[in-house]
Amino acid sequence: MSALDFLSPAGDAVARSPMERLAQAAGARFEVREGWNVAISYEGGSPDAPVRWADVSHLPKIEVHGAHELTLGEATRTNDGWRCPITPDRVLVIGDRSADGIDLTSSLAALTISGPLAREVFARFCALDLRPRSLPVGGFRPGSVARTPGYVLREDEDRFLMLFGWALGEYVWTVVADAAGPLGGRPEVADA
Amino acid sequence: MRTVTKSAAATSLFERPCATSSATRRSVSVSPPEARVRPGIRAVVATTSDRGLDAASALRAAGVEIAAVADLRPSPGAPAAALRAKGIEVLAGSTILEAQGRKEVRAAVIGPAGGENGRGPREQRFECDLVVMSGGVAPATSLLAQAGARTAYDPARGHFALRDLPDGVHAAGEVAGAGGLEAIELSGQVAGADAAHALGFGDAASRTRVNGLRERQTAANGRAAEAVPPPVAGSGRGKCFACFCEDVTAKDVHLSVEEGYDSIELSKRYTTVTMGPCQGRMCQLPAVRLMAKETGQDLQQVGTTTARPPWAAVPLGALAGRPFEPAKRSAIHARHRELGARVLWAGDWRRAYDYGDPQAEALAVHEAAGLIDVSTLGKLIVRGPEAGEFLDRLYPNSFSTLKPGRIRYGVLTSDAGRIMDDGTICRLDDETFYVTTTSSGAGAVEQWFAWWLADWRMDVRLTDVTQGLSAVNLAGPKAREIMAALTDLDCSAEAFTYLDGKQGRVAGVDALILRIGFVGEVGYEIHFPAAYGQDVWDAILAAGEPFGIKPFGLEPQRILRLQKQHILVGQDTDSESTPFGAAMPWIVKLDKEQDFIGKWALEHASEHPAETALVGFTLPDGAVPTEGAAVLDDRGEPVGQVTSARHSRQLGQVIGMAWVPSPLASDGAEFTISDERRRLTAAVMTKPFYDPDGEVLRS
Repeated sequence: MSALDFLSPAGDAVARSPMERLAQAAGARFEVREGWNVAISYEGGSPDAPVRWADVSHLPKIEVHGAHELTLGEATRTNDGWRCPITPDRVLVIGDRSADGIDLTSSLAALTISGPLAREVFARFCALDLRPRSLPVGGFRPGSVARTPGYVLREDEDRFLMLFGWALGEYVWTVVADAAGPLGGRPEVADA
Repeated sequence: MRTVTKSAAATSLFERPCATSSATRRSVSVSPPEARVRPGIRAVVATTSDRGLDAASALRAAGVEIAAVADLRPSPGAPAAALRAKGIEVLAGSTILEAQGRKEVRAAVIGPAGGENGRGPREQRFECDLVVMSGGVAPATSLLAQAGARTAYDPARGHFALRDLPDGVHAAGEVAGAGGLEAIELSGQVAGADAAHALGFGDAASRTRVNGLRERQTAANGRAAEAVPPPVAGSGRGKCFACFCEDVTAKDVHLSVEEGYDSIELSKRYTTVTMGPCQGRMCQLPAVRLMAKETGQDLQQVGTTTARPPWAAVPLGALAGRPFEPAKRSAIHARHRELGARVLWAGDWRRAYDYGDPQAEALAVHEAAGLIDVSTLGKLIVRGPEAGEFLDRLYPNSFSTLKPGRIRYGVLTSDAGRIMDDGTICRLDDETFYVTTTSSGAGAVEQWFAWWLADWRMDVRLTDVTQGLSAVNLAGPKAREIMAALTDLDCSAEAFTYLDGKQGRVAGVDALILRIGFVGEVGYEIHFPAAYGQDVWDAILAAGEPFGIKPFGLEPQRILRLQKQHILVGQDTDSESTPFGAAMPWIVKLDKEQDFIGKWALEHASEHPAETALVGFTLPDGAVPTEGAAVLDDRGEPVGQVTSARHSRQLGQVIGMAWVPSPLASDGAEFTISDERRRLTAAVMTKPFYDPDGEVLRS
């Protein structure tokens, strides 16, 4: 057993996102996959909604310490996810459970916001400049998200990954739903 | 880069409140131009123009009952007739003299303006829960003033209006004195055309057209008459707020003049009037009127304060944003709700305060076992070859000597030797420490660590895992048996001793278990990934059910810790408290090899005993003093204060902690507490009230 094993959600119990109850209230059905209770469908789901958000808090997030060659502000795609430089000697590895570092999976909750109106939704609670010329695909920004510290990663043209404090999950879901709802937004499952 | 040489500003007007006596500012607002919400149930409206009458109509349409409208004008405008037709009383020549109510408005007194001390025969009292005031408007001239514009007092309108504009600066709309929609639109066209002409555009024909617009604007420029409110209406009846942002009252302005700060600029610096978030939008004119009253000058002589950048707009979010609070919730939060917890704010967290009966919850911890969610504790991983030395530099005691698997209490002191925070530190391996902090101090401690780490450039990594880990404290005489049912670890008293920190599986989840005892019984603080918070909580309660386990909240925890005289930083200490004064001299290791933050100050403090000391006390007569109540000396002068006090059902008495003069810090010494007209005699007890020698805790 290593000194920091107790940080990793790798136990026999069911791991749950801090947004599980709100997803359930929004019509989600769940299934335990790889130890996590994840939404597999939503009642009345609308995959064509102009903006959609999905709870991806189960994604592994490992903070790796040490000098690196990455450029600040630019994440690098890997086979399993992303390597996001936070400081010149600190990288957040998303999606790769095998990374050697401090496990922050349960420290950072995560939502993807996708669709043609994704930026419009962000504009309602986040002052980061998400225009393509400022944040191209792979762009990674720390900053204030809904008045709390967080990160935004542009995964694709119309797809953003937002990371924020685990304890703020319920709050952030509420903010996103409030911002996206009037635009026809709907929650979706993580692998949609 | 291009330089702007011509500009036009259309910054409109500000609504001003009346300066009136009020014991509260809650439920007192300036008049909304349009009411789409129902801000109260029954309102009194005070106005000096038709704007207030329009607001009364809008409020009525939104479902608010209008108790009365006070219009300072002798002959209220046409909208008054419409209000009267709806049965609303409009009192001409009257204003609001007083808003009554302690924490919220209960009633308003209306009468003729200018009445000094005492009530007049024409005053009427109206019950209400909302007071809406329109004390006139003032042009938003600040941006233009920063550009060099000058203003002058306009006695007809009762405000400072634009007088001179510098070259290249144009003004349009109400800020330029235009009134009425048509005149406002025309003034915009004129200002824009003037700017264009000044840049060399246009021709003789366009100039002729603009002159025509100017004439039409003058003709259309209609503004209904306004009354000018007095500096203070109904003076002499409690606080009269001139500045809502900074809590500056008419009395403060009066005092500033008495002290010699007799210009508006000096008074501003003395009282901070106009220096709040509204940047003087609401309070500039009332402050100028008060200054004129106090100095006998006219308003033009008093003038205005200097407009300075930045001129911040009112954020739209403040007007229209949804009021979502960034509340932190533990992963077990929903369970607390289901168990009937009373949930309150604790810093930026929502926490279970109790589950209905805090005394019974505290007793359950003594008699069987209790479980409390302490996920809000700050949690830091400090890792690296120099981690031990890093902590030695930060804390007044040593951590480099701590053995892996052991825990030590730490009090973090500032460079002035004052107590900043406290918590436990567990050494996980040679290079890794797990530091816990108070719930409210987590952010500050993390910043403090990061700051010094950047300065010292040590080979140490710091990671905040506060939100990543749930933490629960299982405590009580049955806690050991319950733990044994949940883990394969040997939980015997011999194998898992007090201040041990072990890793193992609890309810199927990897966890760090700290054998500590904030609440005074055998206790296990279990830290594990937040994703398992709910399931581990459920598993512990299920395992403890045969033993009589009960969840307990923050309030019973406070009773329990008080029985042990365990301090709460910020509650029992303040910004001047040192470990010596707070009865913890043993934690300061002045002889340790490593220099540490605050050492010089603590050396000084060790040589000069504190004037006051933190002690425990009991009260024989059963009265629980208010926290903050004064400790009095023989002459009745305040010399200390009560920091914590509770009734303990376990001990059958009232217990507390207080700062008292150091000579009284001995067992049995008596002192007097003054608390809301009561005088209570307390007896000092320097050792914990419960289990004074720690035998239960260590068992």
